[in-house]
Amino acid sequence: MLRFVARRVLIAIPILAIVVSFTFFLVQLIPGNPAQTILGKGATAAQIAAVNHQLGLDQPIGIRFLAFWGNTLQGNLGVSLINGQPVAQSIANALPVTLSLAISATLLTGIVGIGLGVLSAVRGGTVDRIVQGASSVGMALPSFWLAVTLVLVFSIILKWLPATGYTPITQSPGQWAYGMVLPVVAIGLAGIASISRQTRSAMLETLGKDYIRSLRAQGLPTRSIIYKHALRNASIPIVTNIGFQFIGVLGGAVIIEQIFALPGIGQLTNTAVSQHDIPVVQGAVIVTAAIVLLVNLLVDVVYLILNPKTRRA
Amino acid sequence: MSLIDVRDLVVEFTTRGSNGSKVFRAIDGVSFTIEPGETVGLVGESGSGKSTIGRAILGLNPVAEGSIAFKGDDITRAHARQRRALAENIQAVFQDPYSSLDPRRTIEDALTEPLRAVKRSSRKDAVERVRWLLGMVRLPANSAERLPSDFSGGQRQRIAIARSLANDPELVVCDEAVSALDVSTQAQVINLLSQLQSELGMSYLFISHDLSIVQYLSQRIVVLYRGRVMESGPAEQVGTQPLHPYTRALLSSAPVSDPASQKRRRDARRQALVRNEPPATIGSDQCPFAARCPLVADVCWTARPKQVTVDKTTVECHVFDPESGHPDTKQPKAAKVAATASPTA
Amino acid sequence: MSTAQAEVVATEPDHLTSTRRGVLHNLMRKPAAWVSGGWILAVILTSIFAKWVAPDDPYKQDIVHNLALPSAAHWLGTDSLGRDILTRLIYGGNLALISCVEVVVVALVIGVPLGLLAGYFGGWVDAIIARLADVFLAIPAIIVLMAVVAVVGNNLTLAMVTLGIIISASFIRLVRGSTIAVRRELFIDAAQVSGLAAPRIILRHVLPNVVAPLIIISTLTFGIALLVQSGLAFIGLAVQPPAANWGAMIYEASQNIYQDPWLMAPTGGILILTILAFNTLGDAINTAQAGSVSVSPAGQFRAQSRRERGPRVAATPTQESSDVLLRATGLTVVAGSEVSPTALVEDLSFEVRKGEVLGLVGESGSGKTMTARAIIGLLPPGCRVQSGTITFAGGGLTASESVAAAHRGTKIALISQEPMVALDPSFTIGSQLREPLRLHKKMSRSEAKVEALALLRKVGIDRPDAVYASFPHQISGGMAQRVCIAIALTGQPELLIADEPTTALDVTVQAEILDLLRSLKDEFHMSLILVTHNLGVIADIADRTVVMYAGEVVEQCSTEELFAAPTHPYTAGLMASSPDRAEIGKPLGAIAGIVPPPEQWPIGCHFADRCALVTEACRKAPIPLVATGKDRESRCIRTDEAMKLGASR
Repeated sequence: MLRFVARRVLIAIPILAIVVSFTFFLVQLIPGNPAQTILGKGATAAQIAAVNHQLGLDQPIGIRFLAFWGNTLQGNLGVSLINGQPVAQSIANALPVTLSLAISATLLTGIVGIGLGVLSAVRGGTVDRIVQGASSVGMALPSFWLAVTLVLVFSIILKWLPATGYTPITQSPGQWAYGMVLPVVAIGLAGIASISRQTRSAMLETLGKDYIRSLRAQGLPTRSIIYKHALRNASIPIVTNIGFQFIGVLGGAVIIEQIFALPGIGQLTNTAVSQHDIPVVQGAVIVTAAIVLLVNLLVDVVYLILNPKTRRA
Repeated sequence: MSLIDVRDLVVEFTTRGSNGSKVFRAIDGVSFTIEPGETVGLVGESGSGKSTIGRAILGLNPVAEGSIAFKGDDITRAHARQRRALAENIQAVFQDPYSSLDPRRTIEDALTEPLRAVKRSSRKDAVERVRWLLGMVRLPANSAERLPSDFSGGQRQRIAIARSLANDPELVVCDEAVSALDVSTQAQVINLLSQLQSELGMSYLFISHDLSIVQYLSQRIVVLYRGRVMESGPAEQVGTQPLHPYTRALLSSAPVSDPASQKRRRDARRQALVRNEPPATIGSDQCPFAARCPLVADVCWTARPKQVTVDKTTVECHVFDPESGHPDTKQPKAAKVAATASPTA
Repeated sequence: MSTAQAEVVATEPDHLTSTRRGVLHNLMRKPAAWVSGGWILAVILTSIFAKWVAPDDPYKQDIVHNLALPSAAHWLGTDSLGRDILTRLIYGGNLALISCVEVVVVALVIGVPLGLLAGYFGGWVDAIIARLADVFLAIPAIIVLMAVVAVVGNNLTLAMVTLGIIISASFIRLVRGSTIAVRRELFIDAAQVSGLAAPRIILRHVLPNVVAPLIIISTLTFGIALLVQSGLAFIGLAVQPPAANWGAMIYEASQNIYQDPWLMAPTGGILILTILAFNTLGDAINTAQAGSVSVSPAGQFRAQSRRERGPRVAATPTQESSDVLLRATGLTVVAGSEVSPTALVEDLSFEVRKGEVLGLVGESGSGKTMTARAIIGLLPPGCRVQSGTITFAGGGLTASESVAAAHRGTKIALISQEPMVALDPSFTIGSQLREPLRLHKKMSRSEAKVEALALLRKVGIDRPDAVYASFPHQISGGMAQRVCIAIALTGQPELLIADEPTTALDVTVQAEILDLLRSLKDEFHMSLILVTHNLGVIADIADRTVVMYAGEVVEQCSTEELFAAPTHPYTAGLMASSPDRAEIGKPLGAIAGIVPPPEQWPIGCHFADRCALVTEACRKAPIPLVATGKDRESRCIRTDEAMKLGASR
């Protein structure tokens, strides 16, 4: 088990290295003079020189690449061009918001999605058709449209839930949850649809296996066959999908945080993009890539635990 | 000169697991020959490596050690162009008639493909040839434009046979070619194979787990167990009065369709086989059958048996080797240790 | 390395059976495909011909009539600048669809060649490409797209190309997976043996077989691309303001949500409908290429629904001689629709006596496995007992689902052909033995463990502790069949149905399993129904034998009599076909022709077309099963000639 995790980490490191290098070279892609692009047309020569210096653009590319790596390895992601704050600090402030959103949405997705999928597979008939139809529509709903519509219905018309605002969970879990309901639903609905469809097909496939017939021949109760044996075997592909959903939610957060005014990574990135605050964008890419790799690792470990064939005896 | 000469063949597979890769030796020093016009039967249970040998001859498995020669030319590591030239002479019929035909291509496509790949025949000649081939395997000429899904298992196997004959090969490797078929269909295909051989004169390497079919079709039989040859010799001899304890176990385990003789076989089998879960790996310096052999002695666990020739049969068993140190050495009159030392890889 | 012994049942891998022609045909019959395809086509056409189709100018402002609700002049209302919504939606489609095409094309161009190479050649090629895909998969797509936009400015094409590169990872994985699956097919080996070079094999045999999954993933990717592109536009990236764009229009709607909530409906609606259409089309293609409507395996758990009630339970316990354990009378099993069912087993009658081994022998398509499954009430989804009764131990019993369920495991047990797949791969052998023990014998966990180990020892496993703790994939096939037998014994059944129990096993292991069954039968006072295609197995173990052909019993009698003198031409032919009876140098006595599929069974004798003794009378009417001796029946009107035929061989 430990060896497996170690191997996976060893594979993840070069991937992260490629992503870090990629973000460095991305800046080199800026056509013309990057400082000019960043500052806009009205910039003075002195301002351009200052930004050039700040970005290290007055140094040879090799040196800059090494310096960028050196800083990144030390956890130094540079400082913002706009407000001069360390990027690492800004990200550290924003991360809990995004992670709490993403983790809640993934939990919701997993629990509701698996529940609906099993229901759909086992009950069949009308229930199945309704769940199937609803998940087709659910998967087609853009989260940002859904978010605005939810705000319209639950905040503006019904006034049940707040449209914006974020309370850290450490301050007041109740307030946090109150503010998170709409964003989590908006961002998680497509995932629920996707997981329920996958659970359904995985369950149907598993229920068609020979060993299910053997279990029935032993006279085991349907409950045990479905929830103990079939679900356990069907869960192996579902886990992978839940990992993908988490990654999707992380991306979707960029837009959703904007709508609900949540001070997370998404909002940070979005502001940085509109202000051409390159170091912040670079930092966001590196940190989110690291999170994605971590989640993939986690998925692999869960997969390993669930699937005895890949587990060492 | 032999058509095929396999010498000291070793095939290894690397299995990649979650805890590193392991090398598994599927074939461990196998030698035999196939003469022109002859059928050699390769018989063994799953894991014996019989299909691996066939695939090595066809160039579908890489060879680790040893050599394979076709009419004296070394083809062990034939590169792609050489292989394509060999396609004219060495052909195959595989086990599963459902997977061996591309479901999206018509029978004519399947049959003209080897013609056009090897001989670059013209379209017209190829179509002519397809009609002839379908006749040879007793299928109606209008089969050509149909898809594999229109045919039953036995018919598909006929098509696969026709494909193998497209370029008049000198050797056809039949890898479990009748195992997937029902008994009555199986008999049809077996009859077809022997008729085709008497008409066209090619050699067969007939690979099967069923000793009775192998004995029926072959002139010589090679018995494999876990990648090693246990016994090889004339089909009549090996199929009815085998020497090696493994062949005897194999023969007595195969049920016969007659209650009285089956009862006798059952009694014989109880003598011939020790019920024992065989070990996962066998050392190259052991007899692979030791765990289940009723005649096992200490030497079977410590030394690889030499090849001993008794009459026309060659057997790898300490019991038949007077110098092996086995306590129950039998010494039939003709027994003598083969001049060739067995490979100690 | 052979998988020889497994009798390949005549089913084919789904993804390879249906030809492209068939897929299109299946697709055409789906209303969902028509509706979604029609919608997509409408969006494409209206956006291309927007100039002529759209009712208005997309940039014409009319501040006086801004944020208007739908009216005759503006069918979908106007936006905050008074521009016509419908017009802007029509013009917006163009940009949306072009970006989708860009994404899919880039993903295909990268994904297909890399996936084919990785799947076909494997090894280090595969390793490198797989790592590349891993890199793409580790990239948080939207954030990278934002970074690209941040750096190069609002360039939608570049953003979409970037998305295409990132998404190509899924294309690589899919093509690689499908290629590996096709690569395992023997027709690829055959093409190699035929002398085809690798590029031609990939083009001719591999690529056509991965086209279907590619079409599906492309369709779904259209939907994803549309979502991402609208999302970027929603946050004001990658699209220049005056241009009409669906995502940007939703943003505008959200800004005016207090004044004009209606705006959310048409702007979101068109986006949702188009994504829905792409997803639905993808699903439709997926089911169309998977072949005909498959019956849900979950149906087996809902069997109590109206129609699948099973055969009638015998009304009164019949006067049974006390040694009969199970009797089937007039059993007919059908598949397919209620209106035109196809019979798989017809009017089957036989009995199993206490303590005997009944052999059920026949080739594939004979209905022998269906018969076994009908007895234990576990017919495959879509099949049902249409008529007939099965009585168990004298009383009226079995086969109505609930009664069968009550007997499963305790009175009747089943072991099946492929022991390795008959065990749940996720649980240890011990756990799979404990569960039925705790259920049937109300044992505690520790009692169940003791009993489980004892059972493992009884089925001849030398190291029960090791096997008890193992997972199914860690043991051999022969061992797995022993374990399956042990599990079957947990409820101390009176009848054990063994469906081809040794077919997948090596011949030496087969012999041991047959010995084991023989001794357990006596030890546990069970009866045994042994289903097999192998006459040798019948000769080894069966006391009495039922020979089946094309859904009917053709002959039944004691095994000794059967082999001494078969009274049905089919039985005689089957024996003559057996290679163990072959005389070297003489052709085998093959039966000409093939077993007819159920829908082509004739009215008269099912064997007529292949029979050497066939007469006019054989084809006219159904042939009854007639007594040909004590405890002996044959479904042939020319039994005397048949016996001569059997003896002459």
